[in-house]
Amino acid sequence: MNRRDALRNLTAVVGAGLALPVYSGMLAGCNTGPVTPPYVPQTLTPEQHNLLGVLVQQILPETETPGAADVGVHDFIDRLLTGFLPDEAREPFIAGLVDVEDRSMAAFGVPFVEASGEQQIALMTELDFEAYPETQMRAEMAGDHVPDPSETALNEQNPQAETPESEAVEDDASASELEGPPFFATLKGLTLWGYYTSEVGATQELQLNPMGEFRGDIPLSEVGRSYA
Amino acid sequence: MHILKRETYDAIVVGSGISGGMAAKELCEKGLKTLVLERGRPLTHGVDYVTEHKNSWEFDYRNGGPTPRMQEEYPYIARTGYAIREATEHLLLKDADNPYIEEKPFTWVRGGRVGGRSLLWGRQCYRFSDMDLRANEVEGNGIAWPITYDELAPWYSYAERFVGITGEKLGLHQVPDGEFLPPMEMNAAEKGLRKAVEQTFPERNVTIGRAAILTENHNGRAKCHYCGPCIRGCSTASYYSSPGVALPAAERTGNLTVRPNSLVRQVFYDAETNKATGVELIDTETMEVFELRANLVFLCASTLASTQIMLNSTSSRFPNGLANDSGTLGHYLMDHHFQVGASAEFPGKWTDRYYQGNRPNGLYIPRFRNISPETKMRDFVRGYGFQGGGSRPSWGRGSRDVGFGAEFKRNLRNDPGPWAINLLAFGETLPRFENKVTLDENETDIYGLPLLRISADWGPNEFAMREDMKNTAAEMLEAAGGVNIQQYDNYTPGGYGAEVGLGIHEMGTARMGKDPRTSVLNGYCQAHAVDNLYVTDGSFMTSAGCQNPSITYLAMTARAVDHAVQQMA
Repeated sequence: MNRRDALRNLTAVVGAGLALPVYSGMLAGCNTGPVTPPYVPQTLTPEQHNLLGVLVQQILPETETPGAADVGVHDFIDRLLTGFLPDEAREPFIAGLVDVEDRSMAAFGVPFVEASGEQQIALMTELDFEAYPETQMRAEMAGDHVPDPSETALNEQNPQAETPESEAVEDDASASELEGPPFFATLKGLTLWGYYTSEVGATQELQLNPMGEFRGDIPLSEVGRSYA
Repeated sequence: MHILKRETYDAIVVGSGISGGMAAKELCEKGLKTLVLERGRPLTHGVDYVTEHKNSWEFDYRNGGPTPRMQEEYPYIARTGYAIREATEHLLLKDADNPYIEEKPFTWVRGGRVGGRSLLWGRQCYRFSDMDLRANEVEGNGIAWPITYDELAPWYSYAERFVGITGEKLGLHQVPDGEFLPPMEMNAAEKGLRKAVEQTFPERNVTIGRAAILTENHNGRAKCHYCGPCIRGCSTASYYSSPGVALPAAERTGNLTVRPNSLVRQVFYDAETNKATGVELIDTETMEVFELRANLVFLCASTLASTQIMLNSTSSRFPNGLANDSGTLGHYLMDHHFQVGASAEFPGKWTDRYYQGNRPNGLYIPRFRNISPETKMRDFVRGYGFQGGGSRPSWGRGSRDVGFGAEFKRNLRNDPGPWAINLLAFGETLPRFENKVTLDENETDIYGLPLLRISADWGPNEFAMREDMKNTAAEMLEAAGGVNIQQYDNYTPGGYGAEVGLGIHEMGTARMGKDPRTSVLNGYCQAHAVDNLYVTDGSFMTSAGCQNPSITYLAMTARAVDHAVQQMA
């Protein structure tokens, strides 16, 4: 398999959410077994694993239901990196984590996990918009508000966070466009997939489309919320 | 059920899939002691559908796609993108152990258990019409079918009543109505598309799929419980499969023996009596070789496998393969060309509507090209239909655009997202001599069967049709108010994406015809040259139509058995 195929496969995985809901069954047993020991990452370093946990929890935080790290989405992604994703996808993903750490050090002077929640969100917002350049362009054309790094915690906290870094970021973004999906898009795709196919994500946050009868055209209000 | 009880049988059926199951049932019910040989592993209906109702979180990788190991072991099937998963691996034949040679890109998807692909099929059932059965003759592409629609129609009805088909009657000439159970309901987007298309394009119809799925209890089988992933097997046999429906019916007669792990290498032929006398099989577990005798042989091993067996069954009478006086055996390979169409989103439309239950069926747009003088196309002959459906993306839309955090999460929870509709075309391919399979002269598989060499590609008629498919899909979506209309055609010259075989409707390599000089079989799927040999899988197909072919195999198989038994009497 060449690199392009590998990246295409990765994209297919990230896009798998479209196809997955139809495969949900509902014979869910309740897992009330003994508490499992903490997950030991197999591909990521413990630091990268912790960093990933903070990232996924910021993407899908605890609301009325648990957040992504609460249900072990970072463990799931480590398992994917170990045995599921093609070799060619592993390296860029880890490079993406390293980049988050570098940006945090450059902008805030501390590792990402030690940055404030506000700082974390600011950095992730930047990554998010870099990952979806078309959205940024569309929003600018429509006159919508697009986060400007100068308005965010990124520069407020560390005013000397300098332009060379921003330029480097732009170079990275254009390079990653050529090579595959941007890191943050991949991260978000894997996080959503991991969360909404988990038992909590599929049954507490969303709901399984029940088996039994089929009713093709009913009010959304009767269903209440999205199917997993 | 899996033990050889007799050495000699009244009939041997090679293959236990769609065609083999029906052949076995019909033969057994007519009193013939019947042996079904299946190259795949044993399967106990129900018990072996081990992933049937598993939840996503019960799979190591959430059933998300082929793992690197699966891509190594199932390189052909992995090209489908959906067929090889954690949920389905146990039902498939391992590609790596069963190679073939691709002179041109070709994807061959094979089942690995008793029941073959009848466990895995898409379940769509559309009758061929008089128009389809006459097209070759009228145009001069290929040869005439030796059977008319009027001859076939009662057998369609017979098969449909046994199988149980859900569908809506439309009274269309090009896709005749069948014996239908109540149709499934369309969702709001599909209803919207139907209204818009039928207003804008009076000659086109949008209907719910006609599928071998029970919408009410039928012949002792329970109606569908709408769990969704039929491809994992159905313990209630609510969709039609050989292990769930036909083989149990055959079993009830007391005349059935099924032998799994039994790869047939050749059919024996006796020149003195001019009969097929039995088969040579190799046990894929023990590698022991057996010779079994029967008065009647039905090849139902799937198009390419049956053809491979016939090509490998040589004798001084048939040096080029059994019953191959015409030289057409292995030629005129067809599939349906697809992976072309369009999708669209409908933001702001039908936002207050949703659905409940996992409907294992989609919408169908019957053929509307070249069905009348008014619909005649200048740049291609034949036609195509669309399959597809409307859906809301739920959380799948979350990674398509910017956003994260608590509000983002609540939004995905409360709003299933804009409706989208995908229209995927399935087009007829022309029978062409150069699309063919042959046996490799040197290489064999581990069972000693010469490897199949496959050489097939689409031609000018298919490429012209694909342009039209993209455009008509888009114009119908536009008529319904769709935006972000994405036209697609995944074909790549010399590459993968929409290669022959991917449609998993391979057909035509032992075609039927009126003239023994240009065809292998007659109108009863009986070999012109060997009158106790019948071939009732897709290899008999003289033209491809654009309809999913399994119901035609089922009807033709029942008709062939009826003929065979009458001949023996």
